[in-house]
Amino acid sequence: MTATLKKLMGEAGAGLDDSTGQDNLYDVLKALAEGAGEVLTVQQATITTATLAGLIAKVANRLGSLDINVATCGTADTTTVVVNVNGADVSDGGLSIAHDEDDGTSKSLALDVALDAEDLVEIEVTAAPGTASGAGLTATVRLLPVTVE
Amino acid sequence: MTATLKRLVGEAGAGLDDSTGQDNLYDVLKALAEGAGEVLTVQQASIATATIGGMVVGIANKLKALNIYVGVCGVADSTTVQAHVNGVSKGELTVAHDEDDGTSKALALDQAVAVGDLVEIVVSAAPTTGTGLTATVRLLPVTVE
Repeated sequence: MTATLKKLMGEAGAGLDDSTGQDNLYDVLKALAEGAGEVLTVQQATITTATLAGLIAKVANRLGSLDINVATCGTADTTTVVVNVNGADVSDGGLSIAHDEDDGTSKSLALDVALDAEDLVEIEVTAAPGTASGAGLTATVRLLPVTVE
Repeated sequence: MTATLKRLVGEAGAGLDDSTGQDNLYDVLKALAEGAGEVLTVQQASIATATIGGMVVGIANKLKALNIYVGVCGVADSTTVQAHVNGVSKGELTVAHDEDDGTSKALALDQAVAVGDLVEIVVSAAPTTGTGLTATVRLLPVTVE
């Protein structure tokens, strides 16, 4: 969702009043919470197995999602991307895109992994299309300290 | 703007009461909304045409701004940087070679993006001997009025 923060919060139905038909305070806070976390994103031109990027958690946080996009899926095998915390996969095998899926495919994986301050979060390619035939990988991890219900 | 979030919200005049002289809830939410979106930022040492950064959108969001800075603008031609969504430019900024070194430019955008969309920063034109490009795209799910 996206939301609109009105200058006149009363006009916006600042509390939980939906009778105005405008975004209320919960809507705005929800949009902020969902869109305001830390982001780790990286691209790889030719897809090969490697650790691509990492960040160190600044505060206690929560790993919220992994998203990937592969521009050219290759001619054999699969692209697999996992999220590691302190060197261990916490994404249950991560996301995979097979060589015969459509070029430009995006996939998303919801995560709910608690992080401590100073934990190391990394994006790793654990499998790559054969003969270096895959290209244009984008992988994005989001940290969200707020659980939205 | 910057705002102060008080531990005691009541003390801060939580609603719209400005009589306390302190930031109210709207002020704080506005500052959060304006400063808290996702940021994709990248640098390129020697400016050359290329896709230099990207991210996959995780929630319904809005592409709100493209900002660029060119350290050394070069001796010929221009630097052009575009914000792409799924391979299509949604806006661009150009800094000519004869502009001041250290020029910054900003472009406001209002482009809705969906889960799985690919947002990229693309250098579509490069100067001769230009260096020190920084490009930043901001996504913000909240419209501030």
